[in-house]
Amino acid sequence: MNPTPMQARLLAAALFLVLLGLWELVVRQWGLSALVLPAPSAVAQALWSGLASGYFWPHVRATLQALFLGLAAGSIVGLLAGMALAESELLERVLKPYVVVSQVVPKLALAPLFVLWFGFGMLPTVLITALICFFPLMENTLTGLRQTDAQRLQLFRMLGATRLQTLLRLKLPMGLPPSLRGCAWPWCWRWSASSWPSSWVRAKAWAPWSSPPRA
Amino acid sequence: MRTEGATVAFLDIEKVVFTYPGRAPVVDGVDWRMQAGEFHCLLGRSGCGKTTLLKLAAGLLKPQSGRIVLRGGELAAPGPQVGFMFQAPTLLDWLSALDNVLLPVSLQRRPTPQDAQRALRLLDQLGLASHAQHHPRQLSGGQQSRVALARALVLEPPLLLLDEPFAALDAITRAELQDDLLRTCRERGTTVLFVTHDINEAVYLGDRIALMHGGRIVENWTITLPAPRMQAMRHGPAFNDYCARVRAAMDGAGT
Repeated sequence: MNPTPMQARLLAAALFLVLLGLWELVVRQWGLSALVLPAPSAVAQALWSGLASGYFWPHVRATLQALFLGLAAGSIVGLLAGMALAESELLERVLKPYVVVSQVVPKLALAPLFVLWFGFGMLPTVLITALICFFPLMENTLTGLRQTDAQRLQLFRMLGATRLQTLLRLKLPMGLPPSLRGCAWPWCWRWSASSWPSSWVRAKAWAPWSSPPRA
Repeated sequence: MRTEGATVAFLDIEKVVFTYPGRAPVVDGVDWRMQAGEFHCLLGRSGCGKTTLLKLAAGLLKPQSGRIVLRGGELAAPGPQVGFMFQAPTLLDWLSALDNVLLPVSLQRRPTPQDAQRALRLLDQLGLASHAQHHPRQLSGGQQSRVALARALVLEPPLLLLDEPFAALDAITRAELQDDLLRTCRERGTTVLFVTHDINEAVYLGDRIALMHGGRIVENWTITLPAPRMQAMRHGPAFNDYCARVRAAMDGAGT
């Protein structure tokens, strides 16, 4: 008998509790020092007191900020780079070796250098996060866009689609996992279905407060 | 240029040759003329060059020599003047049936409510009115083929090219789709070039049949069965006589 997804999730949660219990038991049984291995209860206590006293909050904020900025920057650059490399064979041949080699360098080893170059502020953290996010996104975009099947490409040629339309309306949605295709579609539609001026006019119509008042 | 007494063909394929580099010609000097509103079938075994000829007629491939003239103008590139239907339905599975039908329109301009109405009417004629909002995954193979047919017709192209579009369907669904295709194209006066390897299908659909072998048209027939075609004709002596003649010619060409 196969467990339902709900049962599987419950089992996973139960396993988590069992492991925590074992950990707690081991620490108490052997009387381990908190310096060697703190018990889960001690970790929870420290976390709570840090949050309650407000000591953690500025740090949580700083971490999240760096995380989101880095994620956004890395994803955008990775997506654009993947699209560029997928569209141009030449660009891929010229740039791909460098991109791959740059990934061999362990990024955490760059941290001291980045601090030296960019100071102790937010910038080095954001840059490292962006570097970590960049590669998987670029690689996935590249392979995703290259997977478009030949018949659908021929269909778009037959329908007189431009290169940009083929990218936005066929290759990008095809490269996305099926569950996301529907989400990306309206976006693509808006960007490519019609000429820029008319979509600008529509944007104005949607935001009437941005048009000048009429007499 | 119009010469005295000669009518200008709707589609004129003149001495067309197509070769992939370093191989024997796939299409080796084909001449074929179609008048407006005719339904022609291009029949042949796998690898005889019929699909390549169809792609040449669509402008997807360029002939090395010879030319293809559509309504007096040389065919330069594929475009909305030609509707095309592939072997597989090739629908976009993230779009509804209606949006799939509207794809050719939306690649040219933003679809108007009139476009949507026309697409809905087409779907209705093909018995899919209640499926307009369904996605391809929710449709059967025959329904997907119907959506693909509606998509090929939505811009009301004067020329429709079909590449074994019903080959993967079961016999009964295929017969229904053949009738739908004949009816829809007759109503619009569409000129149709239909590629198939099925003798029965070619005789049922075509006003004329061209038999291809080794990149050339080796034989052709004018089919004078009464129009509109009825499924019952398939069992009549005239129909079977045509099938036998075509079959004999195909066997003869193979040896």
